[in-house]
Amino acid sequence: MKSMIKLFSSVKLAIFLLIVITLATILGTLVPQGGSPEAYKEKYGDGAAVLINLGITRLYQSPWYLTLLVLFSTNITTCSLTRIKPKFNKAFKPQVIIEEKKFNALSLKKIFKSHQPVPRVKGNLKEILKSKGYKIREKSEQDRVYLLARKKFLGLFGSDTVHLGILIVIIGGFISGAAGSRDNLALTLEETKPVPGADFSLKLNNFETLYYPDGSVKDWKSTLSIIKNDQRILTKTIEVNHPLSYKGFVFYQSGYGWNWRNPQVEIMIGRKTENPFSESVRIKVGEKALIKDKHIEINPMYFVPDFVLTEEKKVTSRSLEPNNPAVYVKAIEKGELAFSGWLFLKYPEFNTRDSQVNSNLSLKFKDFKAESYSVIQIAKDPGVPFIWTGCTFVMLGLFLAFYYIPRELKFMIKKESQKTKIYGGGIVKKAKDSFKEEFDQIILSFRESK
Amino acid sequence: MTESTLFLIAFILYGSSAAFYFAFLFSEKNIWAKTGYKIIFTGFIIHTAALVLRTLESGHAPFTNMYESLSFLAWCGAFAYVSIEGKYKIRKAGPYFILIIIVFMAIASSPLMPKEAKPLMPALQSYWLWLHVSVTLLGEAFFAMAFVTSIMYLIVEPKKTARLKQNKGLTPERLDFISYRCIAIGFPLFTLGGLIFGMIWAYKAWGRYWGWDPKEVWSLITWFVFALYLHTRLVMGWKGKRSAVIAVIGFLAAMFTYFGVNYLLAGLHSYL
Repeated sequence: MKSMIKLFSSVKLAIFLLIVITLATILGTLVPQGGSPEAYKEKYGDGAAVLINLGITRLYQSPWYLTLLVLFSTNITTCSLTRIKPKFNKAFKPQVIIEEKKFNALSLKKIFKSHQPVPRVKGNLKEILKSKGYKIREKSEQDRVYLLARKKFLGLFGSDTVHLGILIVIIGGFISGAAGSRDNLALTLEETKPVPGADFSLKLNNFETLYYPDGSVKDWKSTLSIIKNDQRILTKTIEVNHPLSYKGFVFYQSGYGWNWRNPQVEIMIGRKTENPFSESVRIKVGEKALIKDKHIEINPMYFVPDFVLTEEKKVTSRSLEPNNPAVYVKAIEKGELAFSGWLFLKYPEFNTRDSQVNSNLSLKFKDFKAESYSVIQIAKDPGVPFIWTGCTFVMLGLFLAFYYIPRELKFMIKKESQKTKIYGGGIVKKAKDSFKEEFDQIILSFRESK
Repeated sequence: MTESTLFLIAFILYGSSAAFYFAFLFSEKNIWAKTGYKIIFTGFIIHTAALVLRTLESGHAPFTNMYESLSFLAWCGAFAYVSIEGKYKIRKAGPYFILIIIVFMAIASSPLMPKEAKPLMPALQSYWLWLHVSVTLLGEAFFAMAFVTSIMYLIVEPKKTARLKQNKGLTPERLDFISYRCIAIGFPLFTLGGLIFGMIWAYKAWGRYWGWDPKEVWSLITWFVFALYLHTRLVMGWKGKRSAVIAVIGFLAAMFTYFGVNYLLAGLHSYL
């Protein structure tokens, strides 16, 4: 046990682990993470199996990486704990008495004489030190008085606070990994779906996509309601960067889309000889509409939101965005094929028609309506409060370690023949210049005092 | 005055400042360095005006594409130099450090960098954009400062005995100390801006505070390297050469995080 503590309290081990963790972490960025076995097989051939078995393809979740993190956590905890007792003693049970000859070893020191009697020297020094923000402890011994003046001694615990913070962050990470969950819920308008793992449901009341003038997406907004036992509990509009939190669940705007399977299209009908189009019909793709007085049957057969021709001259959709909506329509007039071809919403000049068909029927694609849906990511992560707490400790600790540097001054005042002899000094570790300046000022102020 | 004109003026001023500082290196006359300092200070003010104008014109933070963020990084560099020089008087490091600023400005103005301000994609519309990027890049500017003083240390130190006298103001010990001071400023900034603000923003925008995205991982690696610097130095008493080598590696890791990850590793941060 003792040797274990000794091992884990070693800074050398910490540095060794830090180097190993750094190298392992780098390795994880060189091999793509979380891919399928087939993808690795294609990229690395026979090496793929080795990578998968060693956990390198899911490195940051692999047992050996997590073991490294646990070892590192144990290490920094032990390091801090074994060093904290002397620090506590230094901070809360400081040594006020100091031997005369030890003053010579201090890096900051001044030994001088004053005409003032010992109690006055003490009073004046204390007043000056207090005005500089020092807290003072004193002890008297026969003919002499000792003063210990300190400030900012919380700075001693800077590194421990950082380590505590890191430990809390790592614990939070493990909790997130073990107990966190993430689900995607696609909701169409007015649809209500139960939230996995919760006793309430989520309803999408409204969904809109906002665009910039140049056509790029500005934002997505979903108005969501939390429904419990058919009761609306709360309603909030979420957008990217502005999620909704409820009972440990957080709801994010994570995606959107349209159901392109059978959108409704509006087709205008006219004659080549006439202008404008005399009639229009709204119809779902795959269905037929009969215009009785004219004996025309309209049948939109296929729809693509983003029309493009492949190299083999096949029609396909470049994306799921309605960038170039096109519908393939067949029309029958009085029992004969009167039209068949692609109609384009944005580019009617490119409409195609079967050259075999001889009819003066003219069609135009005017509008479409597709059901849009919003994808809501539902995250539950009990590790999150730990992460923010840990981060706060890390920052507080860094501040203490770098910018709240403890200062400690010791004085011994003793009577020597008709005068009073004063020994003063301190140890400087960081920020030498400003400490020395302060010390010189204190001595100067004292010499000017009466 | 347009933003690009102001940017160009700032670029020219940085260039002339470097020239004055080099003149100082060879002539050893303080007046050259003093003039160089005044020029870089003016350049910094004009560069500030360029960034403000850019913000007003685009309506969003001036670091949403590579051009903007490089220009902002150069600005942070100018800020770091002006403040460190003001406090520690490290004139001899001036010319080399300003060269780094000039490199950032030059890459920013290369024709490969699209310069037009585009509307912000949804994930970037957040005040965390301001906090995350500005604090991170400011931290990295101080790492850059430490990089320069560390490289200088590695060059000067072996010739210590011969050249010590000439190098009055900037002994190897002083270079080592200034590297440490810069990291003591850069490390908390990078921790706060790069890691913590990044995590908070990721949590708000993507629903997770950490996702092992290559950019996230490389900021963590950068952080590890500087943590190593601090521990070897403060606990094990490493100083000088070994410290300088770690500081150099740390800055290179920071630059890989900033630059390399975008071009070499795919990830969520691909827009920047």
